[in-house]
Amino acid sequence: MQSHAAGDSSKFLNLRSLSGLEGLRFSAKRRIEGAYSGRHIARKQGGAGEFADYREYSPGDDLRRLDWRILARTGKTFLKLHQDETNLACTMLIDSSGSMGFAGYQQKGDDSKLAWCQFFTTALSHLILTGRDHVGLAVSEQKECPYFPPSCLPQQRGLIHESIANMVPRGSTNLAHSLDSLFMQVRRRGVLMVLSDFLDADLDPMLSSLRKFRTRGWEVIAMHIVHPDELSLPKGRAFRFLGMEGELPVAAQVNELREAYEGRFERHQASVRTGLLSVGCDFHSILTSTHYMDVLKQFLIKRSG
Amino acid sequence: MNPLNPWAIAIGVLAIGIPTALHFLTKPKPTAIPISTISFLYELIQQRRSRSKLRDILILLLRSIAIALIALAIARPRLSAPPIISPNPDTKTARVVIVDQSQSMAAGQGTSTPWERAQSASLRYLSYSDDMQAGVIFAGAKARSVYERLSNNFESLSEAIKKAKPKPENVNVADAIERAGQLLENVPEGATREVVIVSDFQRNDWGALSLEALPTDTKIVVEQASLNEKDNIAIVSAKPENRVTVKQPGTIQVEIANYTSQERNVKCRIILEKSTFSAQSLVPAQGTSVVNINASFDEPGWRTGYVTLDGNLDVQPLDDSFPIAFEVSSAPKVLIVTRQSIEKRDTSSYFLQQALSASLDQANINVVRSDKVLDTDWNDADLIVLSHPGQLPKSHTEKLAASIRRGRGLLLLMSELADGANHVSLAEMWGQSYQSPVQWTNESRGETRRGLFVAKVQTRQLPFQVFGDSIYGGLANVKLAGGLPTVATREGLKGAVAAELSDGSAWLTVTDCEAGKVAVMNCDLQKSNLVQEGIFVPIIAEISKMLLERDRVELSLCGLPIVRTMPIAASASEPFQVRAIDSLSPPIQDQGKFEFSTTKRSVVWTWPESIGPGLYEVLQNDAPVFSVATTVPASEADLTLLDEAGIKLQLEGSKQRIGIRNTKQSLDEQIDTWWTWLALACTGIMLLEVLTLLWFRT
Repeated sequence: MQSHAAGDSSKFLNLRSLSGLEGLRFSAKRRIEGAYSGRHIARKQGGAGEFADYREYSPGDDLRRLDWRILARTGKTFLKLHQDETNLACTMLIDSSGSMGFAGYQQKGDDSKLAWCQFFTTALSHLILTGRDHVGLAVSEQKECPYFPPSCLPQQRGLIHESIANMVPRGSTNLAHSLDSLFMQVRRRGVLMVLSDFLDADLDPMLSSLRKFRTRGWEVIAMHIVHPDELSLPKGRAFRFLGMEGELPVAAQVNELREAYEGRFERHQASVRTGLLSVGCDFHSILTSTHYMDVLKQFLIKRSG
Repeated sequence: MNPLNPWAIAIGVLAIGIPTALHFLTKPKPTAIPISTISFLYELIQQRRSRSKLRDILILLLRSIAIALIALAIARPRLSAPPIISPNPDTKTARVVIVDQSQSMAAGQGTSTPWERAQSASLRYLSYSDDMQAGVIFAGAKARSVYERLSNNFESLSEAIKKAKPKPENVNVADAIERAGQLLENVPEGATREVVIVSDFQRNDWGALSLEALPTDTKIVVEQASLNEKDNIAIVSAKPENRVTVKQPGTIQVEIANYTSQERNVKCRIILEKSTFSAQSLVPAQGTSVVNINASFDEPGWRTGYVTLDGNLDVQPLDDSFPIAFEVSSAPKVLIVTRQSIEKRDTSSYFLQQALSASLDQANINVVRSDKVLDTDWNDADLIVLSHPGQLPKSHTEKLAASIRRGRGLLLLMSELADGANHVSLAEMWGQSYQSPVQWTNESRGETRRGLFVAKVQTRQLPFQVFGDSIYGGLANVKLAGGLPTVATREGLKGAVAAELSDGSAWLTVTDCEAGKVAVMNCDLQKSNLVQEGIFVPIIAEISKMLLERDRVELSLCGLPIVRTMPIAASASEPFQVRAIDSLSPPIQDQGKFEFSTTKRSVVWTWPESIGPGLYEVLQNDAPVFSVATTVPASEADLTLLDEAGIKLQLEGSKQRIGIRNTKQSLDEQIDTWWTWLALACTGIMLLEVLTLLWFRT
């Protein structure tokens, strides 16, 4: 961590806290396709790397992999298979819509869902880069989707961290559009991590977009970010609720709506979970009341295991 | 609608808006806060908006209605149809006011008695009007009309009502209604007939109210002067149980009625001139109890006094004292008339003489041959027995018939045809006052009457009442003979046949004959073995007691006519005088008539309208010859009244137009019960509001 300290000035990066997680590495659950050799199991089996298995020769196979010794002894043609190892390319897509700026009914600015994502992605990108894997960043905004392709160049850390630090919640959620835009820009398969509150009016377009990634062989990790205050309505009698994505305000007596709201939010959580799992995502529901370091630790333990 | 508190309606109109105003004023001021899930709230609010609006509208409506109802209830609207009878009619009207003057109208403590309310209610209908003629009838034991025809002298009619007081009588409702009908018969053409009945509507008196005697176009208003307090304990009867005989133990029965809801321990006292007797009894709630007081008297003659309840404070004090008058008689005189030999010891008359001697203590039994009976013998005897007298001459039967009419007892042994002939002669003289259940015939159908046995006995009636069913055991071995066959008569009462023989003929008949009583035993004792059986003496004893009971005291009710037969000793030629015995008894105004009755051969006193309650004696030559105690009718002690529903039930089917009111209401006052219904409706509305809230919550 010290080696990168000189270039890290993000307020969301706490190197002292991350020092405890240096031993953990972010790993993909599936075989991946990297540009360089690394410590992650690659999708293809090549002539180098660790021996994996034998296979009968079939016409068209690379003759360089033929085991000549077996051929000499037995007269049969077998190929020696070796497992290639490659590096990991993780692209983090962060939802920066207005609803991600929700910091609870008490409106503590540094308690917003986006802030939590900023801390989390900063720390995770730092650890991935430390493991000499590639990290990319895409930001889901209302109309645009700025994209920083995965890289492990020295300047990538600063670029990613700066981009994360500069994110501001605004506009409405349009995750499907962002995913489609990202899909058109990515060149190589890797790991896509989506951090969002998934408060889209319609989840189906988003799920369709994610299905494209999955079809192409991407590993998709979906992190559903929920603020604890979102689980229920505030205590009190009447409120004038202000929308965070440009919606019209609405006045309501919350006592009559409380139970119905809680039921509605539970249904939303359930539908997000069901949808994402059906697409084949690795789904995580996260309450922002849980410290990002704890979440990161648990996440990495699962991943490295 | 004429509200008692109109200001409440104005306040109510203003207050109706209060729930709506409160709804908007107390609406909480919303705090603006951002929320990420506002789309969810849109959905939820969209779903509930129409439901909430409906709930708010319903609740506000119900609250407004509740306030309006409370305001109306406080305003006390009084709604009613116009009265059937207007106090001041503007058309030709003939009006009769019937005022209940019975004793129950005086019940109550303090100044608020039904009578006072009845007076004021009656006067309201007698205010002067050019087009009206009116009459007033005081309804007591008989109807008393102030004037014989309708009058427009309202002052005089009102004055009569003001001066009148309740009388110790009950009400003859039919007489009052009939009298009203007579007054309304000849009214001017086109005049409206109206009758106002003002009474407490005591159940005992008014339970059989019928308006049939009134013209069908009569408008009727029933004014009920009800009594709040109905608890009353009263002496309803006091009289000797049996004939009171000198130096014989006698029993005076006092019947006490308890018309309260609790059992009461009642002390009563009898003061008879200088003697005082007392007793106490537990009287059940809504029941009666009979107190027996034993007394013995050394001298014959009339005894008068009062039975009083000690320490009884109730709404009807007059019935706590009960006058009593009875005669202490000398030992009974029995006359056995026979033509059989007096010396012989196997004759019917001998058997009867012996049996009567054993039955009646100290009785003076005189056996006289039928051809030697003197006129004085018939008059002096308390009980006359005809046993084989042969056919009596007309002079004897006349005296005998008169004696029985006056209250003597007759035991006739129907042994032979001559007895049948005597019976026919007597029945002819008694006429309609004697209805024999059977007729004795001489048609024996060729059969000899012997070996007969008693087949059927009326064990629940005198004289066999005391024996009960054991009489059959006592008569099991009795074989009767002689007598005459019988045929049932149309006019006689079947129940008057006390016992029947195995051949279907009557064995013993008991029939009243004016004040006296006649028993006919259909057998020949000489030929029967009855006299050898142990049951003979007890049967004769019961028959003789029954026949001597004619002296039982009859209650004389105030207001009703009293007809009493004076003793034989009273001379028809000397004047009689009736006077009150003590100061407690109201003084005599009209002592009635004393007339000699040829049929009874005695002077009969007729007092057409008795007064009282009190003790009165009849004097001749300053010597008392008769006493009478006039009492309040027992029915007046039960102050149970007919309620409005009861009165309506009584008048159901009447063709007249009828209105029922309470004297507590003034004429122009309208029914003031709506406020209770309004309050009830308000409670219902509030309950409905709670239910609405619950329903919308679920």
